[in-house]
Amino acid sequence: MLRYAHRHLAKTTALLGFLAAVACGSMAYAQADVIAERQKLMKEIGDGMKALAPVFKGTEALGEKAEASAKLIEANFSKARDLFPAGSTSKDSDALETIWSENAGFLTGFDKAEESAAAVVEASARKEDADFKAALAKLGQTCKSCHEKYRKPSN
Amino acid sequence: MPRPSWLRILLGVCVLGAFGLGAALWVTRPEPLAANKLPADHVDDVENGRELFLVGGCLSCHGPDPAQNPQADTALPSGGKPLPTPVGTFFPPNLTPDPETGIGDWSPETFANAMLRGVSANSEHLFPAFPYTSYQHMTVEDVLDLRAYLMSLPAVRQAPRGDSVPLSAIARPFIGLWNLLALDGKNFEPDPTRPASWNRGAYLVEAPGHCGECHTPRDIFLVPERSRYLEGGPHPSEAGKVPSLRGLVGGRAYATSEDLYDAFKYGEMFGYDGLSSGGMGQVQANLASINDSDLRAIVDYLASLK
Ligand code: HEC
Ligand code: HEC
Ligand code: HEC
Repeated sequence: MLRYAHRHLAKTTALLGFLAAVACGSMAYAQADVIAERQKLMKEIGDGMKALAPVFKGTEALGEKAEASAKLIEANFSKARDLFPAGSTSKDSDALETIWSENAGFLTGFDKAEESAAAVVEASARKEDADFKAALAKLGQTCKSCHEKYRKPSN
Repeated sequence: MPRPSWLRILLGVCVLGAFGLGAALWVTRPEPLAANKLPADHVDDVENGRELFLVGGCLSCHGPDPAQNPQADTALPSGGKPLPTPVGTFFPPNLTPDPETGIGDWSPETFANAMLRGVSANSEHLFPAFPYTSYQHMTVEDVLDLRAYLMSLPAVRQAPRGDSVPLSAIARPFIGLWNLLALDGKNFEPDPTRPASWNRGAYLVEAPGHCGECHTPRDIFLVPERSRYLEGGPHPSEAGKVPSLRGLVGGRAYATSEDLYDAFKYGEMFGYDGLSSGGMGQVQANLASINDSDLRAIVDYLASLK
């Protein structure tokens, strides 16, 4: 009877251990996933900004292409904001702890970025050059404020 | 003859040590500029002073602390903003011309001593958290113009906040020893084989711009390594690395000099996200507002670094 209980205990422990390992592994996996995903979105946002630069300089006309870039930026922000679960940083991530210790400011940063991106979309649709330039300058400022406070330089 | 006891030997060593230390501190005591180093016939150029104020990033460290004083004008260097460093938190002082709490009653010599020698108004060593290791290479004329600009600003009363740097009183006299390694008292040397714009850029980067304070790796004494000038390395006070400024143009991020110019001028607005974190954001904002010819000079110089 005692022997049986021992064996049972051992089995349960093994099973629990296995489950725990799977859980931890998948959590780490999910975390790596979430980091890679938000970095991809940010990278596309950066490319979107690069695509808008010639329009600002006047070497490209303001039109549908600019509108599409701005729309992508807006959409990516709304996806990226949910990809910062508490503590999700690693050696491959430039996310700083301040994201979670001063979370309200971080989320406000996303609100402002989305708002500014929407203003760029709108000004592009109206082909209103001055508004476009003002909105793009504002949008650039939102990237900078957030990266100054919540992102570290890469390793 | 009685044999010397261990105690006596120890005492002897201590006395010698104390003597040596005293001598070392004496040799490295704060050394002000000779008064005749200042040109007698200098005519202040306030505009040039403003340019150096921007390139030098004085406001980034000497700005007010909105948390302490929400009404303060953040465009004035009235001091008090916390500057966290590995040795503790400094609250850089008021640089507006208020006679009691600022630099209003400082002579030109006093100001030049701080900038070129790292010596404070009360003749003590200043901590190199104030990057005088770079400012020392500025010309005396530029330092005088910078002072003239500061003196032209509205005076703000903002009493100095005590730094919270443990051991600061004990450590201060020893800064002279470190300065022996870090200060050479030399002015910037132009390279006659290079064009004027290149030399202007090299000067702005090395002296007022103090780019090397972050972009040059430090040796075990925390002195920037001249032989690895601007090669990048661990961030001196925060997480992450400071990138190298060598081989930038033609590299991954900046195909041409024009791209590097755009990165300084427009930063994130043009998708250059690599000049925001780790304190670079304020530097970029300053560089975006300097004279165009100076920014072009900085780009010319950086583009030449292999
Ligand atoms: C509210 C905060 C926030 C805003 C706004 C923001 N970012 Fe980011 N960004 C981050 C964080 C945090 C990271 C680091 C993510 C990581 O490494 O885990 C990042 C990373 C990046 C990266 C590097 C991605 C990579 O390849 O690793 C780029 C490029 C970027 N952002 C561009 C932009 C641009 C351009 C804007 C503005 C249009 C912007 N970001 C606005 C927070 C923000
Ligand atoms: C990286 C931060 C930083 C920057 C940039 C900086 N300072 Fe300072 N400065 C300090 C700190 C910290 C101190 C106080 C050092 C100490 O207490 O030993 C200081 C001290 C001084 C002093 C001496 C004050 C005294 O009471 O003796 C002067 C003058 C001064 N700074 C002028 C300037 C000027 C002008 C600029 C721009 C060209 C500038 N600083 C840029 C951090 C900075
Ligand atoms: C307070 C420290 C500090 C000072 C001072 C400083 N930098 Fe930087 N710099 C950085 C950091 C940190 C980064 C990386 C920022 C990031 O990854 O977002 C950087 C990035 C850069 C980059 C982008 C490099 C790349 O690989 O894309 C350039 C160019 C640059 N700095 C030039 C300068 C110049 C010119 C000066 C002097 C006028 C200067 N920096 C002064 C810290 C500093």
